[in-house]
Amino acid sequence: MIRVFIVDDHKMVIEGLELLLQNEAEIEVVGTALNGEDAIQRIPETQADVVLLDINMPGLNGIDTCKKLLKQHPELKVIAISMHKESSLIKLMLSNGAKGYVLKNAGQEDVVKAITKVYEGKSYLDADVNEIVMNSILQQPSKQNSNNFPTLSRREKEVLICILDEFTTQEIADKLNISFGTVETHRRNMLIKTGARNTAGLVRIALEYELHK
Amino acid sequence: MVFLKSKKAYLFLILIFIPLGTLNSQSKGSPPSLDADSIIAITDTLKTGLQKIKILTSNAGANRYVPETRRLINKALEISIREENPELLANAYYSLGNYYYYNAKTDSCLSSLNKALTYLEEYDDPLLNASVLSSQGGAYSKLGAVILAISTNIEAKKILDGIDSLTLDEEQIHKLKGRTLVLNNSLANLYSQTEDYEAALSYYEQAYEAALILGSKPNAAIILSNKGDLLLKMDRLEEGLKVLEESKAKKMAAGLPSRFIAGSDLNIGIAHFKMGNFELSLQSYNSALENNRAKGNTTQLMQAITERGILYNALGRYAEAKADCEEGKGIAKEINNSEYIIKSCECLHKSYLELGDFERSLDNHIRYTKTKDSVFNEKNIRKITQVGMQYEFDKKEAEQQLLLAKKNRQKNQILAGLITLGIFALMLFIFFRKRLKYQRTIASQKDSIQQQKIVELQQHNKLTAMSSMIEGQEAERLRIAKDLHDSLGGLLSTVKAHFTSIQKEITQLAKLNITEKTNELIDEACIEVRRISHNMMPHALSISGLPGAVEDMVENLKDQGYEVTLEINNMPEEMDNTRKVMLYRLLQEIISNVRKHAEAKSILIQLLGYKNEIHLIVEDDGKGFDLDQATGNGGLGLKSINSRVEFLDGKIHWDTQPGQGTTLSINIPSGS
Repeated sequence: MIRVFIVDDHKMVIEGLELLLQNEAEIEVVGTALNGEDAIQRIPETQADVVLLDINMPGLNGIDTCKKLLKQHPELKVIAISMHKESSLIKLMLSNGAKGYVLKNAGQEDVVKAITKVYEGKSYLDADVNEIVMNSILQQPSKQNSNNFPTLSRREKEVLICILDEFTTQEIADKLNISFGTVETHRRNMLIKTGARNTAGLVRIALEYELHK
Repeated sequence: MVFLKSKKAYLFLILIFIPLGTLNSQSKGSPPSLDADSIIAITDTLKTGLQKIKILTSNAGANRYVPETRRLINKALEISIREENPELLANAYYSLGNYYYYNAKTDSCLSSLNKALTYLEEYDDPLLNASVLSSQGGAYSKLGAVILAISTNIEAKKILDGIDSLTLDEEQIHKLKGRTLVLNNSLANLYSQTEDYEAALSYYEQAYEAALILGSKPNAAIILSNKGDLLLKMDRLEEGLKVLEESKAKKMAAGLPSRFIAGSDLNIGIAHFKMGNFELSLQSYNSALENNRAKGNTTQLMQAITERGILYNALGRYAEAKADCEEGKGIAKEINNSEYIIKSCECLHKSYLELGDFERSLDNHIRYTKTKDSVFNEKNIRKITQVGMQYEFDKKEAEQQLLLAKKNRQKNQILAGLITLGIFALMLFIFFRKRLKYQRTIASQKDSIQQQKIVELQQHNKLTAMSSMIEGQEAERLRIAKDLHDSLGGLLSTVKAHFTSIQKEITQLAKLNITEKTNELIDEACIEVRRISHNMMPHALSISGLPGAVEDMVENLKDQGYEVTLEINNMPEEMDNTRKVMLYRLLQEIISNVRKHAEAKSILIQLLGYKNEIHLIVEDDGKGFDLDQATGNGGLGLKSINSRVEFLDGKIHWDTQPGQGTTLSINIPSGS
């Protein structure tokens, strides 16, 4: 018998999940809570094996609840149940120790499968969630470039090249057909990005790291 | 809780607008039928134009709903135009404006009132001026432009407060007090609409006092009743109930028609319901119902029967709840009242669910959702128009002030200029050659700085108005997102669970492929709710912070096939929540603009914290545009982005030309 505890700030959702699990012979719902604080207090006495935990709750949210729960009871298996599939939330939840992530509109089989798998010590992600996690891992590179500076935008590079060609601000404005103020903004942003104190410093760093290329 | 809240809102929209004007004509008894010919004949015997106009307009005012009235007003217009007297013209156009107002031609009404105001510039009559403004406020309110209506009414009230009553005769004093009463009541109604309940309450109290002073018992009873409704809306239930009961007694004492008493009963019932006194609530609903059935008041009957159905639902008497709400729904459909279609369908959805009739339950839920959606859309459109109108209004005002200032400045300048011209000419001649070179170099620099300063000053006024609008919008968005997530999202999940549990028992139906389709529909609805809720208020923002939420946004963009470079550097840890949301929303707006118009392939997004500022750079390789032209065309996207930056006290630089892509640099103080 797998002992399951449900945490969600909506009574309706808890009832729905209970209904969904009541016909499962090997699963028993041993308790429910409407918020994170309550859950942390009550879960130990129910001797639950698996916790179904909502993310978006007022007060202590699911992510912090998960962290606190697992710190005190590392043997607990937590499955996040959520309406949301933003990868930042999924990643936070998984890095805080959740073993499963199921969307709220998942079918009965998904929920049961998640509970049994997690109980067996494996992990379980909803098919959709799985895809999101994979995508975000695959997309990770492309972010870093060779030097440590934030990338110069195309327009900033154009301004930089003009500066290297000893154009004055007014001349750059005329050449690129933009206002004096906009040239100044681009120049200032480049100072911020490179950490240079003035245009001379910017020129030195630009030449050293070939930022204009 | 969410259900309760919306219930309150609908109720008050209906009940709070018992216009005092209707009451006046009723308490005086129905007006005698109008004999326009004899009035015009009497007019011709009078000597002065003013006397003629007074007779014509006062008769027109007393018979505002009768089409014949138009002839009197036409005569008044004819006389006033012939005499070319601003006093007569202002009175005649005011009368025409009122006639249009009561005959539901709001646009014509506004244009007539504007004419009256123009003539009042030549002729000083504060009482008439306030009356015209007050009518204008009423017309704005009819158009749903609540903010404009409030500012117009406040202007009117200022004028009234500034009138020295010592200079008036008795009739004028009576008029002044009456105007003040009506203005206070409409201001209270308007503030209640904008959910500024404290202000609304204070105006009701002022209006009530004014009514007592005037000795108008029916008005006092109605205002008290409005105040009671408002207190319910503010969740001050016990107080509200007390006031409602007092107003009911006053209404009876003032001999108001029975529909007003029934209205009180209905609201007292609602108050009891909210306080959990179901027995008392039922009694009040029953007496309201009896009264309304006897008199055939369709609207109130619909309200009372539906509210009773909701009460039965709460009592667990589902069969009775079903019967009542079906009747309520029938009437609501007939008179096309969306609030009560929503309420009754919501109640029926629950009753049928409890009675085990899933099909009807689902039908009603679909209807509930659809109607609620369309009401929501309507409200949204109204809100957008309102922001637009407010903007135009502010712009006009700023332009006028600028013009005035310019005129004054010119006069002074000419005088001072003449005196100093001689001296300056001499000095200038000497310095001219030397400074010419220097000036050329710094002229453009100075220009751009000064231009910016002027623009900043001009926009400061507009900003205060805009920023409060934006803040209001944010609060509204948060509320809607919460509603969506709390009610609809949870509900859908439950429906899904229920549905799954009965699915097995109806495998026969499954053969018809209906269950599968329904299942797909529910999934689709879940996705849609998630999408809308996310767009309204991204939950990730509060949990994983701005960087996390922006990363999510970028991932989404990548899924759509854009090549995106995102760099987040040195962002402040702690940030005021509103600023966080506003900054996210700004980026969302920029990205949506790029997606809609730019036809870009790759996008660079950089969020860099530096000292006390946040630098946001967004660059695309799309088709770019002509900035001057786009600004001139009043592109909504640009305007919205610019005003969001202004709201954050930031600076924005657009760098774009057709065919050259767009680079957007924004500096925003990080606050705190």
